[in-house]
Amino acid sequence: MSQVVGSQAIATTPKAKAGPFVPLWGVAVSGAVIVALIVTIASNSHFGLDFFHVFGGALWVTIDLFMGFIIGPIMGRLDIPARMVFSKNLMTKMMVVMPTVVICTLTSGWQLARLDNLFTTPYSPQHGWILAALIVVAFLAIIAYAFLEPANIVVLMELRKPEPNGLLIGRMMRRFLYTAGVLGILQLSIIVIMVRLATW
Amino acid sequence: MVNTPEPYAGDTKRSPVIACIVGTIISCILAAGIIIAHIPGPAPMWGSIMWVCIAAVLTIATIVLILRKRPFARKTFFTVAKWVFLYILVLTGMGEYVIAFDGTRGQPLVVMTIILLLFLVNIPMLWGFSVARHER
Repeated sequence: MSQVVGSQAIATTPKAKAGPFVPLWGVAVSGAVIVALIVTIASNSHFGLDFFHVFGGALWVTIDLFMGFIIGPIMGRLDIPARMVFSKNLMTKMMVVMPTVVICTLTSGWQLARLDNLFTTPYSPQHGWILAALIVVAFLAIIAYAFLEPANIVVLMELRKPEPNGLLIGRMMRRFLYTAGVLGILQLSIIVIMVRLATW
Repeated sequence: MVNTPEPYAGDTKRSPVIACIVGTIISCILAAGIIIAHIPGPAPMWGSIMWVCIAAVLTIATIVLILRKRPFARKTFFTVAKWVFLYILVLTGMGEYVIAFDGTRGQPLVVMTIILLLFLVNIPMLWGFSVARHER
């Protein structure tokens, strides 16, 4: 049955077009954002670092929760051809957005913690919360780098082929959505930690 | 009677390459965590160095395993790995910039640099392998 579905998917999916792997305008915007981040770090601007951390963190958490709990179930109900077209459009943009958001949030967050003396010894009361945040980020990194992003790339590479493998795409999309859900739950704990730190 | 071939859903076997790379990532995070937990004070370096050594051994094992894998879609592997390398280069470059900018020097800087280099090697290998292993 699944083979029939896979063949139908291939037959009804638009043929892959050769072209850039990710949108080039997105890469240019991402480069500009990273240059702005470097300038902000070099100038030790508290406002700039706070802006990058809050804006990047809000985007990161929202996108993870939205992907895991809203888009995921919707995609699970789509038929394979629709899912393939949707994935192709969504994933190429996510490949540019997410790395930029992650770099901005983590780097500015680290610098903010340094500027606010949250790493100082003897340990400040917030030190434990900062460590908790780092531990959650470590888990986020392991899951994202080891499971979520490889699944994302397999889907993208498969969709660029003249005859994409519907079964493989389905398997990888399931993995992507499960891991996005786990990341969403971890992100909820990050929200708790960050609100605790902000309202100390 | 006609035998219809089983539909191919990719390589579903557990791979030692993935296990080695995930082990490397965890070792690197533990090594960095020991230093970060002590900042700005001096961290006991033996723990970090031990985890970095484990990560280095696992990285070598990963490279050997990939080189020995036959058949293997090397072209696909390098197509993916080179772009991932570029992305991780920006990520680790930012990390190194921030660590050096904040005045980390000496042994902690060396260990953190090695950790970032291990990331720079392992993540492209992981993503490249994850795609190439499904090619027939």
